[in-house]
Amino acid sequence: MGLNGVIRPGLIQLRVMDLDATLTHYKDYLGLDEVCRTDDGRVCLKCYDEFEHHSVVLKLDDKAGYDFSAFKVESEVFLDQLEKKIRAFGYETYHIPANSDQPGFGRRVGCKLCTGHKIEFYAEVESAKERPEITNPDIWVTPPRGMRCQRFDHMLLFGPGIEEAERFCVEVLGLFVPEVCNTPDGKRLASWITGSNKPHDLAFVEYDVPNTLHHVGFLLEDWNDIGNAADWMARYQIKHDVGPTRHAITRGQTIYMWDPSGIRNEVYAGGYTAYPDHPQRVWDQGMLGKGLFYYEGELVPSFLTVVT
Amino acid sequence: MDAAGYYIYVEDQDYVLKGRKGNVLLTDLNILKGCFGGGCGICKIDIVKGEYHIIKKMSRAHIQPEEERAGIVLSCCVVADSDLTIRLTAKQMEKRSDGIWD
Repeated sequence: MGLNGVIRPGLIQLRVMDLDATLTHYKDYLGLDEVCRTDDGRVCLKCYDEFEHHSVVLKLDDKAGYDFSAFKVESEVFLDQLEKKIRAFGYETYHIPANSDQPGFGRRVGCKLCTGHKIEFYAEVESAKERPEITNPDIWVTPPRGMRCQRFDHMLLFGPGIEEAERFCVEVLGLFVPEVCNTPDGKRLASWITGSNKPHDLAFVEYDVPNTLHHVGFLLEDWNDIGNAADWMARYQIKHDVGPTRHAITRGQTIYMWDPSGIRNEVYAGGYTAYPDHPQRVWDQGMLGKGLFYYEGELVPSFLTVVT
Repeated sequence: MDAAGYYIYVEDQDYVLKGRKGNVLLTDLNILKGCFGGGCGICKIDIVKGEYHIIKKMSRAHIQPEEERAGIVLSCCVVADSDLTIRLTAKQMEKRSDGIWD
């Protein structure tokens, strides 16, 4: 399979209420590096194994949560074609000029999904100053810190009308849907969506409050690193949510925690290899306990009711 | 309130909770717990009587300034300075809720 079109989620901006404490969490505990600060005080961060300028932005706000995310696309030509398709689908688009609010990023085209989330697309972005080596490369340049997050991996968004959001991702963005969960009356309750071999680049859960964030996911190397993450959580009293455990959905090995502003983080390893020609995996709502928490076999009550 | 703790009276309930001095209030409540960061809003309660202080920001998505002045708080963001009387929502009094997953 050639990976083209919409390539990956490459940028997410989060609204946080305590910038200093939250920055310590992402830098010292998750192990991201601070890249720069913007004139309006936002902090740009990246994981050690990412090539691009930055991937996570923390923005001080009086409400915590999702601000926007952006996907890297293959070319400027594709970006123009994509905008036409977005408008044909019925969503209005907006434009952010290059090197404006996001240092190092090219122009972005954005839209708002029916779920209330702003999603943007960009084709060009500067290389990070400190990035993985490419000539006879070592596995890392400087030793990874803390939980050793390798990259911003995915996000789970809660909002109304996810059947439409899923259709947008498939028909407009060209992504595919390896796994879904349906209600007893056949309505979509949750959808895991990807544009690559990862089991998900983003996921949606049906929810009545728009623009809600369930979690931001970061990739770890393996199951041992999940244990390392748990050690860091215990040592530094990071608020634990769920795990270590394994999802049957995506098959990812995982642990969840809360950042100091009340945003749920997942650090995650493994997962199956997704292919667009494989049959879709389908979950019944009543089996979500097993689907989400494979070892425990039952839902943790706060997991799907507490969101930010 | 004594050296070790304080009492939390829950309106319309026949039980009394004991809170540990210095803990954020939510730690000692028997309701569904969330982020402990003032962001998710699940621990929103009404403090109807008693002294307390707010130790961290509460998301304006969940607590408006006039609510804050009236004693409506996120219980993960406050520490008690006396015995408290609080009011919980019907859903919170169920102790746990599966919400949209019921």
